[in-house]
Amino acid sequence: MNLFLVRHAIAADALPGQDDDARPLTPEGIERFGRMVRALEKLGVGFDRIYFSPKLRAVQTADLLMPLLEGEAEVTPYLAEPPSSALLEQLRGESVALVGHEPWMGELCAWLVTGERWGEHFPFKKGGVAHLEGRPEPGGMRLLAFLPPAIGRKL
Amino acid sequence: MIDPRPWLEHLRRHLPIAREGSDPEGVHQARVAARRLRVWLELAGMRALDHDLAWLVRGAGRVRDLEVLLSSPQPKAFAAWLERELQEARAALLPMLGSPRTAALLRALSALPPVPIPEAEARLPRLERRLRRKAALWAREDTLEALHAVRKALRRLRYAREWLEHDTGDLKQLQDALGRVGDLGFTLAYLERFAQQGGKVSPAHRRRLEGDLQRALEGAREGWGEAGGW
Repeated sequence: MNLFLVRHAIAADALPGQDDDARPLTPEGIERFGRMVRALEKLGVGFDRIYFSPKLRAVQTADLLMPLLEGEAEVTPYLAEPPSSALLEQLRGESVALVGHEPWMGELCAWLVTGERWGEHFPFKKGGVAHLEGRPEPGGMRLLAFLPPAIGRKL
Repeated sequence: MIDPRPWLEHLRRHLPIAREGSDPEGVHQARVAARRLRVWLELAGMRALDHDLAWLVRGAGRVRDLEVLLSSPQPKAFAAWLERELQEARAALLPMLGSPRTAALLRALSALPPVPIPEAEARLPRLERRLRRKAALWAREDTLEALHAVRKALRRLRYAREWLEHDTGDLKQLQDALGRVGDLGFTLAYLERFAQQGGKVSPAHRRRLEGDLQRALEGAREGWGEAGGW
């Protein structure tokens, strides 16, 4: 499996009393991540499955990835909590994107690559993407690329 | 602004009724709400969550079909088979309604912000063009599938106009013209499946339904023309 771990794009701070789930992307976040999507397209990246967290900023980030999808998108609660076996067991497809949050994306990346949950070694910037390949199980994947959001401006 | 929450609440209210299973309105209204929310997403220019709502609508579709069929008199053996099919369909639906995906879908829908009316208005012509395309295809091919696609496009356009509080009288008239065909079409499809599994179907009953379907198709073409088509 080719697995692309994606941290949501830049989101607005919570307004007083606003639920964390309801924080939207900022216009800047949308624009910058749009460039990342175009960069991924230029690199020939496409997905047959996108899984995303139910928090609005992840839903909107997944929405920006939809032009790269030829298959099904699926919301999952397992991307809005620490990475678990339940998340890995539900993954289907050959080229799959997961859209979630820090610190869990870093922890997931470390878990899949090393078998240990050393998330601090794999910090994701907002809108950052990691490309892994292998079996989606702890220690079963290789890290092929870690794409910072700035790559969208460079490609 | 167009707020999705009223139909989200409708969905939330009817999912437990659908799970409980004794009132057919549970599944029916949950599907109606999910379909209306899909149209809201289209008016909001969002595609994420559409697959999840479509999954829910599709997953509950078999239960709904069977509940509709059983709401009218059917030959005894066919009715007993339908009852068994309904039990199976409900058993398959229950895990889906209680699944983490359904819970995450409701959570994600709860966080959606309202869509500004001018943005939604700007997306309405797309739904009108889709209906025009489907109607043209039906005129060319004259198949049940093409007619079914027209019904779906018509329903989506009606829901879109209702979100925008536009008049839908013309669309309701067109929907009425096509509605009977859909019901007879899936009745015959289930009868066919029953026969394939060794069920005995009276040839006279089947001929009667096929005749009704032909008349309904003619009525749909006439009704569509009388209502001005699209």
